[in-house]
Amino acid sequence: MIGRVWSAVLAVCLLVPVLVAAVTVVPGVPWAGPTSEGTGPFAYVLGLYGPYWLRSAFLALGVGGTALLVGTPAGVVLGRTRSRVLRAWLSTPLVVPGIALAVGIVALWGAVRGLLLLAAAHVLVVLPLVVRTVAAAVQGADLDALLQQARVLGESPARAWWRVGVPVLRRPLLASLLMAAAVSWGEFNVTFLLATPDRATFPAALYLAFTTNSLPVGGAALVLFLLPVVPLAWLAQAVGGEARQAA
Amino acid sequence: MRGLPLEVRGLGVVAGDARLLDAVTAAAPGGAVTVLAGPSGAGKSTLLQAIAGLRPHEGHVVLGDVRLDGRPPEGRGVGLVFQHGRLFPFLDVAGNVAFGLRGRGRAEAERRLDRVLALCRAEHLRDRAIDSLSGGERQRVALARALAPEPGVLLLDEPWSALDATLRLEVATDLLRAVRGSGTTAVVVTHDRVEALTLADHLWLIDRGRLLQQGTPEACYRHPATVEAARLLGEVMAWPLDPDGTIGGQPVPRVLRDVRGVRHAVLRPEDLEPVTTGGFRAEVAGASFLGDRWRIYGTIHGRPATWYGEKPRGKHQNLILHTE
Repeated sequence: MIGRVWSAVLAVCLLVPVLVAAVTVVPGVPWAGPTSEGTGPFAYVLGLYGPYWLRSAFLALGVGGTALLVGTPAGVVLGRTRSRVLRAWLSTPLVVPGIALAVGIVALWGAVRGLLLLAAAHVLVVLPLVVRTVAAAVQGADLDALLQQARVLGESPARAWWRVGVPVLRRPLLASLLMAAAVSWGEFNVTFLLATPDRATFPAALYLAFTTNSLPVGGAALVLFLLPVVPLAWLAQAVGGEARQAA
Repeated sequence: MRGLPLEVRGLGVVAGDARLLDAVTAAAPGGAVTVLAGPSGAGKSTLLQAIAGLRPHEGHVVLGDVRLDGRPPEGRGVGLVFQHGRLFPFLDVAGNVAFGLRGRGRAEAERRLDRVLALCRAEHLRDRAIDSLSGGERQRVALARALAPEPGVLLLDEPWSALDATLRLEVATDLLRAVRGSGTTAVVVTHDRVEALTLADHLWLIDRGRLLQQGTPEACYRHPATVEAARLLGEVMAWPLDPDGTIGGQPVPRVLRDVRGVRHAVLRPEDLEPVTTGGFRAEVAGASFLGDRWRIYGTIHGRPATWYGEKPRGKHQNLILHTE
């Protein structure tokens, strides 16, 4: 009971500042202050930062898909291995801060600025999430045992993967995709260092809106920022939960 | 390929520096239930996996007159039921049982599905989700799934091991009734001596990767090949022999060598019978009640001994030794 209350208090502490900022778009909110943009806050944000929003959306989908393609085999290997060294090695990127990763990428490929480099950096950021989620699913579902069973029932290794591996991992893979897309959508550290002004993403727009515009415009940008990411995170959580139950 | 005899010839499995199976040669009669018995770590599961093609092995696996070595698991025509069933959680019971029937045509697959579900008394489970099944139901579904493709030989790796002890023999008997009903040659793993004797038409006794003996349960029990084989099927007393080859001047029913080649008189408790006079004079150390009789333990000429009889009244009993 105490644990639940404590969790609820923490959630309130985390959400209240966001809600306070978001409701500044409602006319007449006393702490919002005057606007000088001469139009509604949403229209203003969409007019100025709409391309950022679309770029972020495409980037998140592309990064999620790519991370899934690249990370799934590594997750399967990690889930199967008993080597602690390999586990530690594959888990290390989880604890590397995004800003450190960005500095490293600038040092290594600084000359190749552009959306492709940004996408590659985002993939590197979300990859550990995908790898760990898939690895946990492989272990939880005892995948090798099920694949062996499929082989004995007459399936080739490839067909065993198709008929058993894919269905078993379907929900964890979907959860990974959603989480990767959500993280990429909100990624700011790497983007801050790597994105050029003409290739900035929506988190950068959110930063600009709050630092250079009125509070209602910042609130509108915040609402537009949260619009896809909250459902994505909830969906990922729901799918992940079902995946754990199925495993 | 149904009811075919299975032979393994010189089967060896090596993992790293460890030799898990050492030149195992054995035959399982076609259409019969062969029980593969041995203690934990003896190599029982490894032997099944080698037969199924899931482990690289030396030697040969022959089903009927077809050599299976070198074939992948999907090309061996071997069914395998693992411990815990390994049912596919994303399919219902019918989906699991029909999994190995791909390419057989819808009508044929339906016919086989109905037949194996009936054989395994699992018709009522047909549309159930896997996570709604009890342990015994899971094993029946796993068996039905393995039988559906009509394998040449069916391997069962102690599929009832997760069940409650009181249910095990009942479920095992029920499952093997279905196997016998299908006419399929079966090799069944157990580490339980009662299960081994009760369930088997034919026995393979294995320990430390080596086959100790094969034969009918009665032959293996009454005429064990080694001390270790005798121990696998029941309580034994292995006594060093007197220099004249007797125990206290009395001839003994079986003299066997252990793994080191030392000769022992190998007795089972039922070889010793309490009598009023004559025979050995045994010192009684204690007794426990078994329901229909007492299990008495003590020493004979300083050697630990166990026998059955009435409740002991006194510190000594006279025992004779049955030599047949």
